[in-house]
Amino acid sequence: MAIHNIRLPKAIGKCFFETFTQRETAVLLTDICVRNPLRWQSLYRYASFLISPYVLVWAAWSMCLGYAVGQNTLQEKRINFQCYQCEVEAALLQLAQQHNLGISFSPNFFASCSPVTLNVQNKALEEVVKEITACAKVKVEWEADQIIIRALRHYTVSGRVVDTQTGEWLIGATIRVEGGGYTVSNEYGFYSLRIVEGTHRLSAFYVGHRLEKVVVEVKADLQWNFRLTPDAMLREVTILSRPAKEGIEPSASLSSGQSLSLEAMRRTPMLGGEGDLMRYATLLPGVLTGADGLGGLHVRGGNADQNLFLLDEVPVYNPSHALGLLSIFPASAVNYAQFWKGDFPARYGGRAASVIDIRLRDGNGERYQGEGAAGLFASSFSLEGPLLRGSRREKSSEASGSFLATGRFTYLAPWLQLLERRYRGALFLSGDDVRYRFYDLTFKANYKFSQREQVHLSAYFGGDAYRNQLRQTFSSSTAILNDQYTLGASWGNNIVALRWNRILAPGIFFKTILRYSRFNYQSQQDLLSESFQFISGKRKTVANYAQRYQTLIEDVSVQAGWEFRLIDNLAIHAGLSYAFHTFEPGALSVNFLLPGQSPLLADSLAKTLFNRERVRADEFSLHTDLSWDVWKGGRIEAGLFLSSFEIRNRTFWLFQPRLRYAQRLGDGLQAWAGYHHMGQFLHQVGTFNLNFPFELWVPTTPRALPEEAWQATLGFRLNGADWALSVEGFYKNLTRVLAFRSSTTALLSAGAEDASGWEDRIISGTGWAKGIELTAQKGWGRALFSANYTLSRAMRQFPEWNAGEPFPFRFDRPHVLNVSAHYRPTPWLDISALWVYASGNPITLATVKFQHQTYEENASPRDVLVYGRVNSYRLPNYHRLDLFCRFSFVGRKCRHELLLGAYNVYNQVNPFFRYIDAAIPADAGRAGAIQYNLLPFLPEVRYSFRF
Amino acid sequence: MIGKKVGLLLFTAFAWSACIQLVEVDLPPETPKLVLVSHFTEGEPIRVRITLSQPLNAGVNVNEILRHGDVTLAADGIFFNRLALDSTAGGYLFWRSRDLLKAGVRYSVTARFPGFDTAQGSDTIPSPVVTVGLRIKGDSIRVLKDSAGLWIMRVPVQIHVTNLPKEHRYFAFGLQYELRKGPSSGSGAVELRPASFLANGRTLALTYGTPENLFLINENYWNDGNTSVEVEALLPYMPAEEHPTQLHLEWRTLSTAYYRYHLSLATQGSPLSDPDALFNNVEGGYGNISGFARQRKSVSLPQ
Repeated sequence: MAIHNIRLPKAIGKCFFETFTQRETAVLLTDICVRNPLRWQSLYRYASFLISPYVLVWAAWSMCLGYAVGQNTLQEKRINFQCYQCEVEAALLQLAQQHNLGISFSPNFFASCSPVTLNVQNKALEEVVKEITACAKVKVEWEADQIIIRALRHYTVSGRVVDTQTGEWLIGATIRVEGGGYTVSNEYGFYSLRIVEGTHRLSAFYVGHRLEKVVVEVKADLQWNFRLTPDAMLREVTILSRPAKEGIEPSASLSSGQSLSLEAMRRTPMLGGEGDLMRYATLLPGVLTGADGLGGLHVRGGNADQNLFLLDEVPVYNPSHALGLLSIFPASAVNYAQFWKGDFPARYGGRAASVIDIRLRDGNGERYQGEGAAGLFASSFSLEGPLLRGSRREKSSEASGSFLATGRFTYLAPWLQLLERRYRGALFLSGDDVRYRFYDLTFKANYKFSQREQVHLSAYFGGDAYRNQLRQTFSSSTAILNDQYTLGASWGNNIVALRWNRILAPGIFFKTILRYSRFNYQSQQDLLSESFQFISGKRKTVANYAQRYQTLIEDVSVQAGWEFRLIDNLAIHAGLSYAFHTFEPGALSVNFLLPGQSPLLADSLAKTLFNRERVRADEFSLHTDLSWDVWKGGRIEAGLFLSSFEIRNRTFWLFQPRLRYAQRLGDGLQAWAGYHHMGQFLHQVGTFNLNFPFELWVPTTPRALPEEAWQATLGFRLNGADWALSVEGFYKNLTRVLAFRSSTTALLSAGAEDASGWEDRIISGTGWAKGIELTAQKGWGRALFSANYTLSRAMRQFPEWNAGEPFPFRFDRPHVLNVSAHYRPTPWLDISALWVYASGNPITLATVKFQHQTYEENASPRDVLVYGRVNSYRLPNYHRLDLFCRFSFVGRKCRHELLLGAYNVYNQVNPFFRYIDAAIPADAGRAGAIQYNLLPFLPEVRYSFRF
Repeated sequence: MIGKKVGLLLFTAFAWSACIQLVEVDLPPETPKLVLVSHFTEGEPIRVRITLSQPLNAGVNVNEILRHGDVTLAADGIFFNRLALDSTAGGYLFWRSRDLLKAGVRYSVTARFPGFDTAQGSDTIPSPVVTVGLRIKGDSIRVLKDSAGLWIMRVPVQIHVTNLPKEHRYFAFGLQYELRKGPSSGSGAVELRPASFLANGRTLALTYGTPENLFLINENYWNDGNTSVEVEALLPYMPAEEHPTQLHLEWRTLSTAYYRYHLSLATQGSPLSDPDALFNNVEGGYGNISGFARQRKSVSLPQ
């Protein structure tokens, strides 16, 4: 804004002037008083002055000025006005009447205004009108003796937030209007803001990127794409206090959910030295697991099958390798992960405990780059780059594409063979040739037709394979019999998703997804029995047969969703989806490779057990949810998820309302409360509920009704300049929790139990969990300390279990504490430590025994173990310390990293299972037990490079 | 070089040293308690086996049979009999009532032995609630010949029940076959042997063997209007000297205490099974005092 200084010749007079500003316009008031009248004596001089260039300029300027002053006369008219508790409409009419003005407005502008009281003396008319209409978003225009009041128009500013180096959309970036509201980019980098007309200063912020600020003039709907530049230094430093320092709202800090920060994951010591989403999630408060992560995630007392893992919006049924030790999600391919511990928005559904929404990176759209890594147990690679560059890109500058391919494979065989040699005879490891491996292959391609429209193709193929071969030889005086048993199991996920999204209009985003997800578990048990007769010298095949066990779940589904941001501070999501499920719950079959030469039992099995039951079901769901910043510092998240499930001509319904309110209470302090109702039609049931791959995925049926849960939460968070503290309490109630009654008489094949009659073997119970979760973080120079503590209880109750009495859930751990420290003394060195402590898992142990013997003729005595109460005994507390150092070097073309570390540094013996063996001698009052421990001290060496 | 190898070996040995280990577990202190075990039915005296509970690591044959005590039986709360010590042909000792029992009466066994807490358990003999039919598919009977000279007759059997109640569908069944010893048409001795069976996966998974050589049927077995149990009985015999002649079915209608006790036992003994708390209806001790009703059916086997 320019301010004009007026210097008039003092010989003529003195000019009193003042300036003030009205919005972007400088207004000058002049009042020229001639203090010294003209003197005839000075006439000549005056005449000469009149024609001087100075005066001519001044005269011209005065004429312009006078015109301008004349135009502002009405606004600057000094008036007196009084009005006591007048409606705005009445006050304006009174003002017009008193001063004989024409006025034009709509009473609707002031519908939400309170009565005003004014008593002004000698005040500019414009000021008075401004005071009266201050309660409404209106604009006042002055025309002659007319005042025209019209509403300010709102326009939509929308677009995408893009990384300048890779061209990828940035998810969860915060876009803020200076002096106004803010929003967060969605899973496709899309954002939308409603802004009143005028000039605004916008800023965009994303972790690890430079803050981007722009000034935009909003006169109509505007599309604006933010291009944020990564900042290598920012990416590496602690950002605990950055949002406050930068004046940026921590991204959607009033929203539910928690971002699983990839940077935080890199700072945390992990098994094998590789960032792992699931292992990182187990460190969060409220998340329970077995020893060393075995048994999957159990969020706030929920079962492992109650977690919804979404990989690029496709449900994943088996999210882990090695029975839960490692997740299937390659860290190098993950762009973003968001985790909700039950308080998830209504656009997510289908599970009763938590949601982990994982998005893969699109790949670098600007240049080719790759990454490779090799560790003690596994190696991985990734390659990414632009797609369809060149001629197509030249035709349309906005059109572009990119791809990403990653792979990971293991080489555990030497370790297993070492273990097998040491522990011949141990569970699953006895054999002559033990092999285990897993692999992941991920591919993603996307093509942006324009900044408004994009298509993605994502695929994941991964699995585990275990094989064990045993040989036995029996010899007699006449012959030798060789038996060769082969036990094997393989399991894995196949996932494909085709997604198309488009910005339909400013503030309206649309996406549609076609997806396929399949999880399959197969095991086999083969027997080849051959004899060799000494006398005849002939070899003969005595038996050759194979048992096969298979369980699978397969989905084909389609989903459409809309996101509306048409009204100030209000985002509405709506969508619908349909899924066609196919289940094959645990069928066991026998194949004869040598007909007619099979043993008796196998012959019988073939006749009676060939069973490939397939169950199909249709699931349909509708959802709508809104997040509304109702007033300053207040945010409501509300929604409804409605779903139906049709199977065998029966339809089941789930009605899931969700509500959360968060309020900013002061500088850095916020509080929230929520109620969420969740449910699911799909269940994974097993004897152990450990999320083991051979546990069955089964649908809801009349005898296995939908599982439901509701959760109430209350919490607060306090952020300081370099520290943060968060406390959240919860109570969760679970109805129809399902468990599987294993049978000692069911047939087994390679460790898996035939699931025939599964519907009649499911038992249904209830559960509840309650607890307090505490998170504290403190930044201190180049160090960051954080601690998570959970105090909780989780219980179960089944009418058919534990005599109907409640008992602790298998993963009930009253105290869980994780403490981590990260120190970065130089830009090329990271040092991290993690100490984990948890109460021991409860297990069921017998206390005494007796002999059951009845009088009956055919009765035989049997030792009966007296199990007092289910899960009444606790394993020793779990604890371990992990350490690592990461060295980073930047070469000419590559960036190298070398990680050296150790898992379970002090080699703590942490049992994951224990059972009493009466044959083991023990002192009085004690019992001998066999204890299985999982991961002892493990070294970690991992080298990786990026180019 | 040798030093490096030794170092590597030491390191790997240390790494895997903690996988499996034997440990001792502290158990809650508990004094031995009386154990009362009896399944009783109408028209027979009650026979109660009374022993003591033992530490888990006690040997197999250390069950102490208590002889000097007072064991009484009450019927519907009124003294009925004082039980006397008796023994079976096999040498097992039981406490036996003088009078026979009736259905619908609640019998309570009370055992008092010096030095131990008084133990008491009670239950009622249920009435048979279903009509049972036994049928064999004669044209589907097969005989398999073992290389050792043993023959196995495989007999498809259908056990059909009518008048199934809606609740408390607690049943068990056992199959026995009669073997005539001696020449094929001779009139030799007769021997009864329990028969094992094969069945489809659902039937196998929902039936549990009991120490009485009976099979407990899970109450969910009868879902979906299922009213029959179909199995393939396996009757092994030596054809030169034995001939199966009859198949006998024993069908039991169980009290709730009988059913729940054996259902809780069915979770013991499998590595895949999560143990359940033992159902115990003996106050002051352990064991099971429970009644049942017995029905028997027989069919002749084709020669």
